[in-house]
Amino acid sequence: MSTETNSPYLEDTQLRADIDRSLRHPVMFFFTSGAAWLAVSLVLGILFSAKVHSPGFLDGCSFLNTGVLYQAHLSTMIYGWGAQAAFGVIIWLMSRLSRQECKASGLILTAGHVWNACIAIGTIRILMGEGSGVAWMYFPKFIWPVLLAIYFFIGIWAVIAFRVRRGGHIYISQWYLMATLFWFPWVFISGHLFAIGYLGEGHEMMATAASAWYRSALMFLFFTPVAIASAYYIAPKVTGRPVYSYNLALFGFWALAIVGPWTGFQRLMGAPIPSFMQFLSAGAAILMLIPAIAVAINILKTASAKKDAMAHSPSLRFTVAGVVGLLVFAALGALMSVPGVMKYTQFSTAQYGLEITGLLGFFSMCMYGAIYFIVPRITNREWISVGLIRQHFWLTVYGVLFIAIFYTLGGGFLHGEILENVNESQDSAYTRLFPYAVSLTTGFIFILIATFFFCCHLLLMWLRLGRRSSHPTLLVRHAHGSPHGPEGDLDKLENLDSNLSTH
Amino acid sequence: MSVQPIDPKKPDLEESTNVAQQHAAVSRSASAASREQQLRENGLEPVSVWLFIAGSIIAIIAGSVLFKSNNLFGYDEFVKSGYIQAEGEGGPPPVPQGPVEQVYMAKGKELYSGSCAGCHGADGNGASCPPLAGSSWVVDSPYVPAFILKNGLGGEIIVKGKASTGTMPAVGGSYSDLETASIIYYIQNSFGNEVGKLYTLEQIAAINEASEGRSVVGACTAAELEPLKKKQVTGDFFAAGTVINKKTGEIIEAE
Repeated sequence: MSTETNSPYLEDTQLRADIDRSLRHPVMFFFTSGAAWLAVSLVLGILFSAKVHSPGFLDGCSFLNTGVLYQAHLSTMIYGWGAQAAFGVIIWLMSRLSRQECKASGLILTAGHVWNACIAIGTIRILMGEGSGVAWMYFPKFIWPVLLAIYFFIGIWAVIAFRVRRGGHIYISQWYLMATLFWFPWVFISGHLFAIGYLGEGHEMMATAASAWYRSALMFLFFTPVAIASAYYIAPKVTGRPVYSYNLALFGFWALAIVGPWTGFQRLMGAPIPSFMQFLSAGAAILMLIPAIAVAINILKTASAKKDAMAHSPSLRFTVAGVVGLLVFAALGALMSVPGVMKYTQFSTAQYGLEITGLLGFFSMCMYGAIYFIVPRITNREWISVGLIRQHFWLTVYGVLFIAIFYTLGGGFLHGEILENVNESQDSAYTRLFPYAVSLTTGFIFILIATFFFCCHLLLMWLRLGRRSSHPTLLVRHAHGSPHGPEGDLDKLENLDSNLSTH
Repeated sequence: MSVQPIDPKKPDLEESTNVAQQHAAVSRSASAASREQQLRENGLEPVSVWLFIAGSIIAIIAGSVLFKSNNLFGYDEFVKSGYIQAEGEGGPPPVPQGPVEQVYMAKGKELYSGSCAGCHGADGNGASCPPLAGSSWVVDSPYVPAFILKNGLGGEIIVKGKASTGTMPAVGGSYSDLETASIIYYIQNSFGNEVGKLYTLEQIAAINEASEGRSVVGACTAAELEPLKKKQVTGDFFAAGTVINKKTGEIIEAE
């Protein structure tokens, strides 16, 4: 009996399974440690947020003050969770789409360990009060060159996989991934060099501008393309439909590439930098709605063709929620860039709320979608519990809605209005803002519980304790019959196998 | 197992392959990959014209925001010359003020814990440096602490019968007169020291003038400071309870 088969279908399946197997360890490591960092970040975020509305909280440990907690919270969310989830998705997606096994999984895994060590050291140094204080670059100065070097060790393998790809067609997700593989080092190097590196020394306004640009560039040129690449993969893959419109996808990509790098300076409206920087950025932030709408329509149209897949597949459900998050994020960002509105939002909590909405409501949702798709493939096990996935989804959605609606919109605008009003007393400002500050804590608690479920689930999968079944874990209330038996149990298949060989 | 030659007459019936077994093997080792759908060729469905209309509206709004600026390459778009912030209801905010001894003590304590306590200890007993508590260098005259604050201290100095060497930088080199007065008052009236003199800013200014007119450059030495111990300031001290402005140190007359 031959081990080689002539069936192209089986050959293709085998290749995909081989690619998955070659990437099992690094990708699983990125996802699991990323999720753990997200949980750490949310705990720090809850402590930070609690100190905002209840200043006496944790008075005993003076080193855990608001500034330190805030820096540690955002750093772990961006570099601990965000970057690592993105790396996992980038290397897996690129290998799959280029149809190449990964030859360097050991090296990538090692790089992942060093990355985690850097995040841990950086976070501890921040908690010791040694954070740089520059937005989104809070780690002490010696960390960022190391992170950059590690990135090259990880990213280079995705570029190589693309270079030696099989088949001529370049899929939409590959555009975004290739672009961000080059955008990330550009943004990371220029942001850090100008804001906390030697190029910014003695040029305080320029350093401030570089830091404002870095925040939005990292969001629009790294997190956004990775999330969109994953959505463009998951939606057609799960529904089995072609992407709605190729031309719209092309348009959305170039719109992002052209508009994205210009945003960011609008945060400095009124600062003594040339006016065109601020107004151009404000205009660009409004224009970002165009690529967001193009991507969202394309993916929602693709996914909505199969409504039951959207309801049942965890990957698709998270991805669709993430794409809606992209729309909300872009719309809020555009709204806050209109000069009349900026009067109320520029210096208020709305800015931080917007960042959290983008990171958790859009980027993370898309990453969850990808993770729910990828992990069963690389571990060759199915997700254990429908309930855990369902809780993860709804609690995250509630948390993000809380933060987007109450904290960002309600609290942000009220805060801006209070800042504008000279006659508002401290006490009345505190009383009026109190419920909105509490809404941030509440939202974070929801998301933390969701993340805890997610972390446990992922950890069990990492320990290879997933279900062995040929049936995916779908979000359906079970019990209706299936041609493969109730659970598609693989042990039964094996019995069948042995029965057959006796004949 | 060896590959069996395929019977050319029956190309579709290669009996050597057990199809069920093959499929079962793949489903076991790659169950997720085997049920996956293929990515199709990209669709080319027509895009709604409303999308273009919405995009144009967004572009027009963005353009109008860009050209809200009157001078795209200027730095002073937002500078309002002669701008004074509107006053709140009930007139300008009250001037922060308090009795001089409280103002000096509070300000002195803040400066001490920030710049001095690291070496001299929170209780003034000198963690790694000469103590301030009960030191004649501190309590005898305001000249010695003021000179050390402004110029620093080097060489050997005998404090409470114990010699010590070390260098103290000019910690108070950039202090205002109010800050210098506050920290001197604080160290002369804490840790058991009880001098009680409330130096006026004029007196401190006179000491600083003398400090600037020193013949030597650099840190003070014990030999230079020894004669200053006996030097006292002239003029009246602040009376206790005099109300001063917390920011400038000016006397505020009771209305």
